[in-house]
Amino acid sequence: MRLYTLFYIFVRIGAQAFGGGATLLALLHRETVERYGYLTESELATAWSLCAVTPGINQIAISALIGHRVRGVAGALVAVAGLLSVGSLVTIGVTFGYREMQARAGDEIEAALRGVVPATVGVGLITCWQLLRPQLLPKTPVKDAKGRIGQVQALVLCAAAAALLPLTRLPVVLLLLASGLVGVVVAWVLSRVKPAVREDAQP
Amino acid sequence: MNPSAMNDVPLWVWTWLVLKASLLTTSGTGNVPSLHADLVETGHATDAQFAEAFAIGQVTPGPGGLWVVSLGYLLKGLPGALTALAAVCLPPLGVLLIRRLHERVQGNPLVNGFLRGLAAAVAGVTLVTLTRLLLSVGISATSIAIALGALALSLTKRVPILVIFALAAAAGLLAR
Repeated sequence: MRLYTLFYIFVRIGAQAFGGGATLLALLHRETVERYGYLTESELATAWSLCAVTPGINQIAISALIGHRVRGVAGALVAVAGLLSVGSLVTIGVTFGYREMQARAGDEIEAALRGVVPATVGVGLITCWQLLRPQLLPKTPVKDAKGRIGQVQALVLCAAAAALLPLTRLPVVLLLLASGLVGVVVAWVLSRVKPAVREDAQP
Repeated sequence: MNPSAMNDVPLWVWTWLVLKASLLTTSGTGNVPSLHADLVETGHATDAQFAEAFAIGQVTPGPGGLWVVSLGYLLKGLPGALTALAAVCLPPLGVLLIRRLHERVQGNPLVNGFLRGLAAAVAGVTLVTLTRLLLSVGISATSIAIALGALALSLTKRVPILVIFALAAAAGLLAR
């Protein structure tokens, strides 16, 4: 696989990737699994799971992983460059155009923004839900105390962060790290707790 | 806000802020709270600029995390956009370094515990940021209705984000 072919494949993917990770995953499946056979469906799913816990933009991470699989480090960089080329150019172009419009029709832009900002908030709430859902509604139904503790932990840490940020003005980074450490402590405690013995269990 | 406030911030500081914010999140928009705290609350950017950049990031192709490229352009022109692009690329490239390590720690309860705690906190601080955004245009029946309407339409997964923001902009124009 030549690097420019790899680049072109990811340019095509990036140019069609509207609407977030689900769209990108479908595009990646079509190109890298079905069409070119770079990896299997299971490998793509595993890679996506790994990227979900990698810092930053998941879509960049998975593009780097797939590119690396095909052509090593050069492939990773080329795949990422291809993914972002159209999006970044369009983003800069739209921002430039928006700023020009703002200078010419400021009142109308401001009025439109008074509608767009609340819509941004509404759409942003989905991000919050997507962060919490795996803990509040895991794929495996919660049946024991450990699972319930996990659900409560998610709600408590979310509420605590939301309350502490405006009240204490602590740096966001510290709040996030502290919450992560709480998660570690809770996980450690739960790993030490032996499952309760059922009364009707056989000796 | 002093319109030239961001001009006082060196380009490398802007780049570092984007990099720092992107390191402590596992999504493209999870860096919003950190950047909001570093920029809006210090008077170097406005809520309106954040909302504009976020909206542009959602309606353009590619990852929604490219919203920082738009913000970079609004705040520091083309250099700001390009350095923001470089900064958001670096953390996810770390997957190449951790993929082998991940095979060893995958399923480790302490690692998973850290990530769960982190995700819950990001959700919480994101709620705060969203509230502040809404306050910037004033909480009214109209703004709440638009927010809830956008949320409902997004949940259907049938309405493109571009259409949602276009409808919201139209609602804003009609409401003035």
